This record gives sequence, structure tokens and C-alpha cells, in this order.
Amino acid sequence: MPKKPITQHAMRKIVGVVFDADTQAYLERKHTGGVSGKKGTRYEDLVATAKMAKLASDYLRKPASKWPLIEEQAYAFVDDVITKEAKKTRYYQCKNVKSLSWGGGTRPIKDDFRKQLQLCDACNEPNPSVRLVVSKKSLARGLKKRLPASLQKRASVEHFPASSTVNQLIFKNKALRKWLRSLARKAHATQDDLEVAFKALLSAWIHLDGASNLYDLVTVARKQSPQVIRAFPVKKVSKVSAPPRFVQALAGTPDLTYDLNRGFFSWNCAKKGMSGILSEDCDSEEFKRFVERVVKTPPTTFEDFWAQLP
Amino acid sequence: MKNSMKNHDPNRSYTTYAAEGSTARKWVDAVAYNKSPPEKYASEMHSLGQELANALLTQIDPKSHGDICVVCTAEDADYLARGLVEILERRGLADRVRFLCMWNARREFDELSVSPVLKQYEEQFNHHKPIFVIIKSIISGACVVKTNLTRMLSSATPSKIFVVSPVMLNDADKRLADEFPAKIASKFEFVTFAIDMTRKGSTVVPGIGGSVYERLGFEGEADKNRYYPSIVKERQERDHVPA
Repeated sequence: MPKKPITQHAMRKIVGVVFDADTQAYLERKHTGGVSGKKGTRYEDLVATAKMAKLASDYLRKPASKWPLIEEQAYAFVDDVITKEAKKTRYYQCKNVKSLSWGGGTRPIKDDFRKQLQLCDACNEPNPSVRLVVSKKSLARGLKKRLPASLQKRASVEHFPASSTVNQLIFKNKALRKWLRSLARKAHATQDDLEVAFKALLSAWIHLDGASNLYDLVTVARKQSPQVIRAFPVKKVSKVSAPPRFVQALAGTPDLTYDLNRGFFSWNCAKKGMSGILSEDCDSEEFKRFVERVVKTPPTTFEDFWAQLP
Repeated sequence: MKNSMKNHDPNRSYTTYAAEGSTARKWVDAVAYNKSPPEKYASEMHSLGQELANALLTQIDPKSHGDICVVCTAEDADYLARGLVEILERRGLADRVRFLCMWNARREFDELSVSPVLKQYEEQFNHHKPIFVIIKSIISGACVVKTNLTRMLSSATPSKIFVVSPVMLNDADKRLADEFPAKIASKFEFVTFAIDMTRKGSTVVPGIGGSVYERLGFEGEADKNRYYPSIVKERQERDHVPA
């Protein structure tokens, strides 16, 4: 299981033991600078949200005993996004720039990466790695080729496209579409469903202050109304079934099919060309009231059914 | 977009589709400045839809093939979109016109806008190079248009995308294009009558004379999203949806 994040106070003590005064002062400045940046739709925010989507999607596919932890602007040398799973810890630095090198500048990236790994070791973090995320594909290729030998085993470079809008980002990123599809509120989600799901996660990330486990973040994201992310936890959702009286009452509506698999009532009447989904999930008062209406007056036509929708 | 012509209202300019003295100009000003009651306002919107169809027809290549998918929102279906569909059908395109209607919610949080689709009416269409006509009573932030177009693009790659609206906020075309890869945005063609420069709160001024929900007599978003447009019922009865 992921370890509890070390408090900043404890981290400062460790940094004081491991590094010299100059490095300590640098880390203080770096941390203060990072915290003052406003979160929104910056490149690093989009990367962080995509990481959340991937981890949540992985969790759905293969649930672990505990949800991963996500941390932002930590007291660290590599600090844009940090993910902590039971057996691995990843530190991401995001750069939306045209050119970049490992050794350029007064505080080269390679030094930050080395120091971060040194700090991870001092904190006994499980299987730590540092990752540089860049927006330009050719730059990512070049940085991979020139990865310093001393970092080869525990550092890597990723390409993540930059985008001025979330919608465009989703068009550009096939892997992201796949992760978001598994989180969407219906099984056959269209691309617009993915955009709203991403924005709900992004909003949860914007409100994250420090560290949180991913389940709590997804729960925050699910509070958007209408709800746009599938119900969690999965075990409970898999047991969601419509009350028998409700099933019986709906059976009289010609050609109506429906699905509750992701914790939402989505419906389809192909003969009428109509489909839809309730804006709140099956735990909501909205759904309960809908069930009551249908059971009280079972619809016999599509128009009856429509009239009973919230 | 067609070149604009200035007007006496400093917040508004007109495109060449709405030249002075034209019926397009008459109706786009009517919805903006007349304080018509809901029934008359709906009729003005219907006329605007017809005028937009006339402008659109000058842009559709007569040699083009493929279904013409008219995509609208529930609040625009019975008035603006109906007017447009009527003219397209009268001009011999009935066999190609397919009608799609979406019921959107609209929310803003943390400066992020979303407009998830809650219900949809869709007539089956041939997915081989259709023409998309996205019609909306006003385009300002372009959020709803972006959502509904994105949904359409999930199932088909159109040969052309017409974004049709009586009034657009200045730069709404750029905002919409920014939501899509260049390859898709290059297919956009905007058909509009007036470009307005300002917003008062979230409402474009003079725009379409306020909130379209209120002007048409809806009691807010929830009421609008329960509305079952007559045009949808009529088309269902006319077997536009194959069994």
C-alpha cells in the first residue's frame, strides 16, 4: 500500500541531513515559486489530470487494496505531479517548451532528477522514478537519446501534447480517450462525454491542495452536476440493479431498452431515434423519485415514459 | 465569415448576408430589439431559420453528395431549426436532410464550461462524407456547439461543417476553431447575419434580445430539457427513424 506522505516538516529535516545549505535554500525557493502558481488549464494541470485518469482507469481494470496517492507542488526537486502506488512512486516534471536540455541553465534538470532520487532513497520510497514530460514529440525523442547515463535506470521521458483547450487535447491523445472511456458514465461514451469527464477530474485537481488519495479526488469530480463520471466503487456498482417493480413497470414501454451498469440509468428507444441518460446516478434522489413515478403510473407509450423523466 | 458592415448600434455589425433592407436584417434586428411576446418571438426565430437556409444554400455545392445532418438544440428545434429544414426540403433536399436534436445541460465551474448531452433525437444517416449543419440561435462561448459537434464527429467524418446562427459574439468562430484540430476546423464555414461585440454578464448584447429560454417562454433549463419538440414528433410519425 502507498505510504502516507511525509509531512513537509519531516521532509525539511531529511533535506537538512542529506543536502548542503545551498541546495536547501534552492529547494525552498523552488517550492515557494511552485506554490504561488495558479492552477487551471496550464500544461502541467492537463498532464496531472491525464495521470489521474490513467490511474483511475488502471484501478478499475485491476483494483488494488488501496487507491494511489496524488500529490501536487510537494516539497521536492521534481514536483509538478507525484503519484504513489503500493509498489512505485513517480515524480513528474512537465515542460511545455520548444527546446530543452538535460544540462542547460543554472539548475539543470539532470541535477534536480539526481537529487530527487537521492531524496527518495533517503525517505525509503518504494521503487522511485523521475519522469520528464514534454509537449514536443521530437524534443522527447532527443531527450530520450541523450538521457544521462547516471539516470538511465530510474528516469525517463514522455511526450504529452500541449493544447489550448481540453476538447482539442482529447482529439490529439488516443491513450487519454481510452482511459476516459473507462471512467465515463455510460459504456459507449461518445467523445463529448470524455471532455466533460476530463473537466470534472481537472476541477478536482484544481482544488487539490497538497496530497490526496485518488478515490477522494474522483469523489470530488463526481460531485459535479450533472454527474459525468461513472459510479464508484466498482463492486457496489456491479450490483446495481433496478428494483423488480421498476423493471416490471418499464416493460410496458414499447422498444425501450436501458442500462444501469455504470451506476446511471441510460435509455434508448431506437424506433423513435431517442436516447438519453439521467443527470444524476442511481443513488440520487432524482433517480429514486423517477422510480417512484414509473412504478406508480407504468408508462405504456414512449411519450408516457418521456413525461416521467426528470 | 463574410465581411462585415457597420450599423448604427456600435455593438453590432452585419455580414453581407444581412445587407441593409434585406429580410435577414429585418428578422435579426427584430429578435434583438423588438420586445415581442414568446409566440411572436418564436415566429421571428422561424423566419430567421428560413433566411439562414437561404444563405446556407448559397454555400452548399450543388454537386455535393451525402446526407445533410441538421443538428440543433431542443430550444431551437421548433422555431429556428424548423425554418431552416423547411426551406432545405422545399428546395429539393428532403431526401438528404436528416434531423438531430440534443438536450444539453449547461454548467460552469472553475472557469471550465461544460454542456453535457442529456437526451438526443437522431435520424439515421449515411456516415460516408455527410454535411453537418450545426444551427443555434446564438453562439457566444461556443460551448454547446462544440459539445454537439464533437458528438457528431464521434460517429462520422463530414466533408463540410456549416455553423449557422443569426448572431455570433465577436471571435466566437476563433473560439470554436480552437476546440478542434486544424484538420477539422478547416472544414468550418460560418453562416451568420450579425456579429456583436459585447456581453452583459453571460448575455450577448443586443444578441437575440436576451435569454432564448426566457424569450420563448421556457421556465429555465430543466423546463427546456423536458420539452418534446413538435418537429421531432412529426418526423417520428413520418417515419424518418427507420424501424
